[in-house]
Amino acid sequence: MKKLMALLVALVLTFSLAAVASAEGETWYLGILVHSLDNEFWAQEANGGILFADSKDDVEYQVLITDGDDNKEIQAIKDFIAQYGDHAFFVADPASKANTANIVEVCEEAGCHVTILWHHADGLEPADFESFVAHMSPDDFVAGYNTAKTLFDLMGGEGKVCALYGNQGEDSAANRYAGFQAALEEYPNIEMLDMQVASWSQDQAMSFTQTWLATYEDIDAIWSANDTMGLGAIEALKLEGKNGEILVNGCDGIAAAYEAIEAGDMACTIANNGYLLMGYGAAYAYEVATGAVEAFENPVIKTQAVLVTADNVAEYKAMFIDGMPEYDYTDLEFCVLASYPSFAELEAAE
Amino acid sequence: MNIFTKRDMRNATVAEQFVARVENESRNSLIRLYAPMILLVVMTIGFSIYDSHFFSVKNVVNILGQMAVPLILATGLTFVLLIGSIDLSVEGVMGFVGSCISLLIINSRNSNNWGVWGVVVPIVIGVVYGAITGILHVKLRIASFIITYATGTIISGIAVLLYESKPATVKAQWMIDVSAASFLGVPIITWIAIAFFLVGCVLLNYTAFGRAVYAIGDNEAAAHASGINVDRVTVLVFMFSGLAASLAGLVALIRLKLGQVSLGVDQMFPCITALVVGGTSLTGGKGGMLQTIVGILIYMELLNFLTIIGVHQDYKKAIQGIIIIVAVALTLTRTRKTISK
Repeated sequence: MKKLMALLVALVLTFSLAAVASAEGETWYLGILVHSLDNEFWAQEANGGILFADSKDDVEYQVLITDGDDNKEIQAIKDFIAQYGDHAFFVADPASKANTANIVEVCEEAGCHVTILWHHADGLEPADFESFVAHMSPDDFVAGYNTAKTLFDLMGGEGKVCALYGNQGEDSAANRYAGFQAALEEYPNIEMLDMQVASWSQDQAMSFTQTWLATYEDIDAIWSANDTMGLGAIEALKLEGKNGEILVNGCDGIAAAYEAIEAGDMACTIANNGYLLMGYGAAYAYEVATGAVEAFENPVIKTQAVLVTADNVAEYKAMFIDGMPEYDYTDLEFCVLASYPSFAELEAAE
Repeated sequence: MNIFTKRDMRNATVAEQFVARVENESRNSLIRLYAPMILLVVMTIGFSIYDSHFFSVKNVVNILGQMAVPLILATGLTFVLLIGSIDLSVEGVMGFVGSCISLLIINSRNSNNWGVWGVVVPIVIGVVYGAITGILHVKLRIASFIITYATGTIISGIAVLLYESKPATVKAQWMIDVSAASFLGVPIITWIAIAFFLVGCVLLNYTAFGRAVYAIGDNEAAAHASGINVDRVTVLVFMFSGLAASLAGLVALIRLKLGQVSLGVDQMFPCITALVVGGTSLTGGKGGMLQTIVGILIYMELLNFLTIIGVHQDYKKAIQGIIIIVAVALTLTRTRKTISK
């Protein structure tokens, strides 16, 4: 009898809550899909999504952690849709490139809208699907190109370089390295000694750098596909007192990288700005979900990212690390890359 | 000749069959003991001849520095494997202790300065956590690979909450000094690892605890019947593994100076590989400290050599895989009727 009473009370409560919600006008539910929060950049992304949700009165959010697992990600999306129906919308940093098609399919079936970040599968275009609002990503090729070019210019256009690759089979790793190679071709007097796959790991990057230092006598620079690996290389250089002497770069813009630039150990990094990426990703999906915009004319967007060097590090550290940036999410054009030449333009220039 | 032997065995008495089996067994255990050592010597000589950089002072020091973390972890894991269990929580504990220490000593995130307590307290937490894992394992009778996976996930989650996804950089000068310091040309962190390894040697070979570990791995029921408190020894083994993981977290932090969960990521399986390559059995009871250090040296030398000669990453992974299969095949006792435990 007690159980029955409890059940009844629960039922009544549920209905009354639902009634209150509908009486207050429509609420939209944002699912923020990120790999995990143990990485500073992914945490920046999640915070970007939250910044957007907080800027709207009619948006509630939930951060859904996927651990980089395809099945977990799809399940999280399905569960979220089961709870909120077509009032759910998503901004996703997908677990893998292959999973982007599944995400779009699930959203398409449920009539929910999604912006996908980073991974862009061939043939899966936002224009072809009603639910796939936009694809957004900083340009990894440009990031690899610009960091390499900065190193090469600091080297005076000649010398020897080693490279640390990210994770095999990931777009970001491949595109950043392609950018590095494109820059390398422009500098005939720079010799490439070796490339090693350090899988974004600080530990592995440090070990590889130590081995390089024992194998090659005159390394001038180490190009790294992200900040963590760059920091690993710097730790190896510090043991031999060669930090600052052998140039190292980063990419992503985590706090420790800014500190390394301030200390003169790191030459440059790219602030990929997870706040902007996921915040605006959510904003685009919201505009279409609420019907304010039917569809975007250019749904494939390269977002702003900044080359951070000793010259501007203080400014960006204050904005991204010590504080949180403030964005006007109604100005949808703001996030679009303007300061760099695009990948297409670079290719055309070649 | 072969046929003759077989027919002979069929007609042999039980006692003769038993003797033949024991002889066969002891021949196998000799192979298990000496094959990895011979491999290590041959590898070292071969690699040095192939590329002169390999045996240079600088490279040897590098290998010694890089083996500090794996050696500490492997020392703890040796005990766990010997009782026939596995501890998947070591990566989580490592990440937790490393990031916890980075937040308690002078760092870039907050104004804490606990000095030596900043190191001791997280390590004690790591040991206690190992004990909790062990108690859950023996009291709830949950398989070790499940319970340790669960506890490992929990503790790395707590670590991320502690540093709020923004890892702290170590600013304590003593730690920066320790990372660069060396004694007799060998990095201090390697000495820490060697000291811990020697503690493991003494525990395993000269104490009742060590004998109990072997007894449990060999035959748990028999160990129990002979009066060994199996539960207590198992909990102690997981505590020791927790201590090893905590120390490994400290050493990894000294090396990298950025306190994040990824300090522990991808550290355990290479250690297990090295242990198996050295001749420790995954099913318990077989192995020891000598096998552990030989395995670690083989693994570290091989990784280092493949980098020196610039082998492509894909081949590297394939070579590692083949070595694991060969090593496991060598250490398995093929007299068993069943395929797996």
